[in-house]
Amino acid sequence: MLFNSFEYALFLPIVFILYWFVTNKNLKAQNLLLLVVSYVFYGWWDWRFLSLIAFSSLVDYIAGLKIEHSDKRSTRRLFLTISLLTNLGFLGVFKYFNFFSQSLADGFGQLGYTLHPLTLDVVLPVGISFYTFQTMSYSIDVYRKKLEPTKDIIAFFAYVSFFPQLVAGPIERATNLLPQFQKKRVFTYEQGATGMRQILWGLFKKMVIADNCAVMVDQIFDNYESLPGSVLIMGSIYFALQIYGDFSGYSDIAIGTARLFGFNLMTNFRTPYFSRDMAEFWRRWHISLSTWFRDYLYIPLGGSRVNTKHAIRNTFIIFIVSGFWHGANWTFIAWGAINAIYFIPLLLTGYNRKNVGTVAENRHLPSPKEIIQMGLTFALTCIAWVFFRAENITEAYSYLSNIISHSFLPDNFYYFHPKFIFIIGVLLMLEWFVFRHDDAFERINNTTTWLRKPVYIALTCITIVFMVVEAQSFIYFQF
Amino acid sequence: MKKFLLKLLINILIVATVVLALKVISTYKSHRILRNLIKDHKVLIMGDSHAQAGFNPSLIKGAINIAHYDESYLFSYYKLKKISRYNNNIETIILSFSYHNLSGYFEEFNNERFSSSAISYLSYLDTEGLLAFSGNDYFKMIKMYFHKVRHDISKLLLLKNGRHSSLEDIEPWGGFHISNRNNLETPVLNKAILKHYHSPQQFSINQIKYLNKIVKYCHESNIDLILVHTPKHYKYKECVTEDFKIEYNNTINSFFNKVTFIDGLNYELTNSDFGDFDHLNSSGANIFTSHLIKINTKLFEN
Repeated sequence: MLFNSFEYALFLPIVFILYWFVTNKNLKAQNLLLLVVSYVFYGWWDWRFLSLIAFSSLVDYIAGLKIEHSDKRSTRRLFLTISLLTNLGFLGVFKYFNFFSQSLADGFGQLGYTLHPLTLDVVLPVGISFYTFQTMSYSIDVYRKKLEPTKDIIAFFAYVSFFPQLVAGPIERATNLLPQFQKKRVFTYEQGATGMRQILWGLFKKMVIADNCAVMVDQIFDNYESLPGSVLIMGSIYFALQIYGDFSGYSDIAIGTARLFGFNLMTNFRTPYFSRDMAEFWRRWHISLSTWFRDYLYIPLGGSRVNTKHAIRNTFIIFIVSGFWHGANWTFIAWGAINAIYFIPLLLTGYNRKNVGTVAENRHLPSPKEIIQMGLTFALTCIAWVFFRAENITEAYSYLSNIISHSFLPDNFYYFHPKFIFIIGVLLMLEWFVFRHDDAFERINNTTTWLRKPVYIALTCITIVFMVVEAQSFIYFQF
Repeated sequence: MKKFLLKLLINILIVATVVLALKVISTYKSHRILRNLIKDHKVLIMGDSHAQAGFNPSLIKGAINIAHYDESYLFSYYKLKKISRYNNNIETIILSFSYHNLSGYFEEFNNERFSSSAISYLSYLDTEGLLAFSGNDYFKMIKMYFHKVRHDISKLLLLKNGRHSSLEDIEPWGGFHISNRNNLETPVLNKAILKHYHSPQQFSINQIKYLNKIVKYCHESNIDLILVHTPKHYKYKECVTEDFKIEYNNTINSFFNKVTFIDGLNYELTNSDFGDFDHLNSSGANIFTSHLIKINTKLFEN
């Protein structure tokens, strides 16, 4: 079920009513309801894959208890390994098997040996990378004694499958989300109102920005061999906005929906395109994944507190693994490597933590220096996105080289339609003046109703008028 | 909770009121344009891209070409019904009818993939049409209606140059396709044949059903319906399967006495008159339209 679908528009109010008016007296009943509706939500795509989530949840539930009850390090490690192998095994089979098999055959092909790769005819279960990472964090945290395992199997299963963030995050840590399933939730007006606002903002980003840009992106990337340089540049900018609108829009709807049910999910995006350098960009983009890799991979490898050689190695590992997490294709690996190359100079010069605050804090407009910094960072990001979007490395390279080799000016302004200037303008204005601030929703709450209400209504009408009609799937579902 | 639900309801009502107001304005404007565009025409040229490219309306007295590429007979039927409400003087309808119009690929209008491109047609559909389009699925029909409203409003606000110069700005009106294209390369032929005659479902039930409805509607409304098989390149004709030819002839025979049929399939044209293997270009359209006038002098006096 898609957040931007008609089905979801009916599903959400029904669940809301059942949750707050029928099961509200009993915490277990509320959790059971969330579990059932989450499975319905996921099963809407393909009910067969529910068995994967259920199995993964069961293994991690048992592993958590076994790890807790054992004092022996070897036993604890054994159950952690079982948990990790189960989750990574699912990922390996469903997501990466064909890639490795094909790459192996290609590698032998380069050496002159012909191998017929063994491939599996399986569909990638929606959101598998998200919920497997979420459950793995539980087992690792229990193993590290950062978290006490829960005995409440309903709460645990509901935590793994919580429908707002099940298929595209944020990837919640058990330390944050699981305790919320174990205590009574209370509905407050502020939380409900903020939730609705965030859902509206997410729908605008998804249905207006991402879906409209997607139309242009598809046309430009399909015809990149014949289009002028300026249009190719626009193509990469449109894709940058598409993927941002798509993914951050999903996160906003997820966080807003969770708020309606009394849950607080972590922030996943903090206006990343207003970053002044690539390190800041990565602190603001897909935060739940970046911090996951930081805590469970980068720091265990030694992080940046090692010699230069190892720091560079660790940076490459985390970015390449992050790229590979997105998909089994060399383009994602290249995308990760490019970001590592962007990041390493900042790390080595100690500039990676230079821009930690919000840009132009306490000012309405950025300084010329900040504008240049943001522009350069955005340009670097767009170059990397070309690899993310392209079908293969060759196509990405050709796309970028065509920007320079082709004539620059277009014959017409089809790809610079005023509609895009308007909707992107609305996005940038609201992002800059409202959502750039960490306390954006508090600021909105404190604004007078006579300013807020017209903005909501205008945003809703803009969404209705400019949205792409048929519900488009979210890009990140494939990861 | 009470405060939350109350405020939510108020906001929904405000948005609904704004949307409704825009819908009313949009409907009024589109009606006005439609009335102005259609009022003086006695001959309508309808159908899909074959009619769009095949008939030059300027050569036929009182004619307007409102054929639109990929248009199924379901949409043609509701388009005709809607137009008839604004113009009681329609005397003749020229409707393209070729082998491929029976193809199962038209059936795809009922699935999600096709409906995304056909969504703009919803403006032509009344409640009965919406229900038919959604395959008698009420839930889908409500969805479609929402899309129809949204589409009407968005088109109103996004009119080219802010003027209502053409109905195409609001609805898929179609029109004569002026083109000097002349692409007779083999991949173009293969693509057309694959699309027309090798879809998963061989024949379209709905195409035949709605063609019958058009025939019936014209018969009851005293409108002369002329079905025209537009010329095709000989290479294209060679690729049409026997099944289609048989089904086509059976369909034509079933309309005995109710329609006029003009078989232009074998009308001789040179390679330079074809846009591709199954469409005419402007040169071919001029020649073929003149031919129609010759054999129907009563109807097509210029």
